Amino acid sequence: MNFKEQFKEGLITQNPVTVQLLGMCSVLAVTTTLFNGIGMGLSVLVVLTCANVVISLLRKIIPNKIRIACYIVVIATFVTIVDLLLKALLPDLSESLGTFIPLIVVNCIILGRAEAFAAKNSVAASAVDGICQGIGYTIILVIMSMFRELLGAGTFGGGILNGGLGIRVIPEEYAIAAMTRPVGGFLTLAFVIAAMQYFLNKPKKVTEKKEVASA
Amino acid sequence: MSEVAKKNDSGMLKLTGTLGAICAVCALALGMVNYFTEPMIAEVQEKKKTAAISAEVMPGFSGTLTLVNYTGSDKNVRSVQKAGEDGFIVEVSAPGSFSGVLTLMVGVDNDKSVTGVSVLESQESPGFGSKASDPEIRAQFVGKTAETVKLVKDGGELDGISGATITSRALVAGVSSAIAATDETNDGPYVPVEKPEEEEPAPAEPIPGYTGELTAVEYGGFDTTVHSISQAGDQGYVVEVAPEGSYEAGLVIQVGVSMDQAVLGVVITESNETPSIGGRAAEPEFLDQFVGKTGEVKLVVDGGEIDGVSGATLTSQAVTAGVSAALAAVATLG
Repeated sequence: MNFKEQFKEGLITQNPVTVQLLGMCSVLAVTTTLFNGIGMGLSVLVVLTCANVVISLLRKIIPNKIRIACYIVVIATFVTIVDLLLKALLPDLSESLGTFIPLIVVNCIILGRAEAFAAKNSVAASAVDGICQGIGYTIILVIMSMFRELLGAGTFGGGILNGGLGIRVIPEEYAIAAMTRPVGGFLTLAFVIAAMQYFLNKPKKVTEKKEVASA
Repeated sequence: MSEVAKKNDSGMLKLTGTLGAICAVCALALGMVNYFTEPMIAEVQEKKKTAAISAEVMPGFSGTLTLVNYTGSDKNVRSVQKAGEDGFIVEVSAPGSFSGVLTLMVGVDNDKSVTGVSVLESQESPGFGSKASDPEIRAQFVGKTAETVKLVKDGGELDGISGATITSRALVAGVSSAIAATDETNDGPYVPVEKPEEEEPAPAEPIPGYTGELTAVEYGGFDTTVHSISQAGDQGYVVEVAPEGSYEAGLVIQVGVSMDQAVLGVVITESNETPSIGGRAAEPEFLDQFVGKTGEVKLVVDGGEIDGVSGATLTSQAVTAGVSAALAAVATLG
């Protein structure tokens, strides 16, 4: 597993949200402002990488029968550490994300990667996998946050730019509030997944057509 | 069958052992992180609280508060903070409250008028003084200055809380203290005032300062109220007396008597007297009067020198009789 390959996988071909369809509840819930999206993405990245490393280190020691229990303990520990650090160092983000930080424990991405990758691969590869999958997750969060915030609140960079208010792009009267609600979340996610699936399948379709044509 | 069972047994040990070990290491890691983050989190919470309060007390102010030195002598003023250029936020305890616990945060702007009042702590009566926390009550103080912060019944404009005059007056006093405090600050670097440790009043002793042994002495007299006499080295005697005539039965006192038969101290060791009436006989104001007395001691109402506890004549008379009995008992020792 080389870095380039893993990077491509994490970002595109095996993107945790749009391809593997994991961790969607957190995606829907926190992508209301750019600040939340980036904050959550980085938190998941940190937990994912740390958990992957530790589980990979212990993969030969953890008995098969209790592997899920062990993974959960490790993941929960890292999530709690991240939660405490956020509360102490970035209280605004902690309050904004609310219960979704502790809910990272049950975020399927982390348990999924632990089971599918970290348990079977070296520590270095697992660490890289954690980082790449984390980046893939974060990028999707950022795209969705930007989109939902722009249409739903009319601002860009909420929580970060302009002293936390974000730069107003669309006047407040024209903002579609529904975009920041779950409705908007589902719709945006649907479009993002559809777009990704289209681009992933495009080369195949072209080659299929060529094959059919030449046959 | 048994072989499989054996395998499973060792498996169980490994399972619990591994899971246990992982849990132990995780718990250790969490404990360490918590140790470092707990104080930081507490600080963040405090800051949030003060920010919320200062927003209520000085609307429109969102900067940071800086503690300034309070140079006045009003003991009710707990802290004075400067709210940027907008004025001051003063934490005061409102004197004369019904329960004794009423802490306020008052915002005072540069014109010395009140911008807002917030109740931090209150044990006032529910439904009466507790209304001090209601927005309508606190809003009455906004815009008031030192001259106009008075209740209607005291000649001012504030309605106060109906049915809770004591609390209302306490609020007025607290807000007044706050306004006055803003004139008594200096701009020097903040020096936290060391709150003097509340001195525990020294426990009363029959023979103050005596730490030696007490040796029982035989009492040959006939006074049945005298329970025991003990000799306190060469300092004198401690006589335990259960005088009669107290309001409730069961009053027991200890009297320290010097070698030349003068009272050194009086302590009430047992009492069933009414706490706020006869119970006040245990206060130093009353008992200190006996120090130095000799012979027969009497209350003023009985022709003597001791001022009884007002409203508690029976108790005062009983204690006085006990002291006289003690002095007489020592006299019999010769």
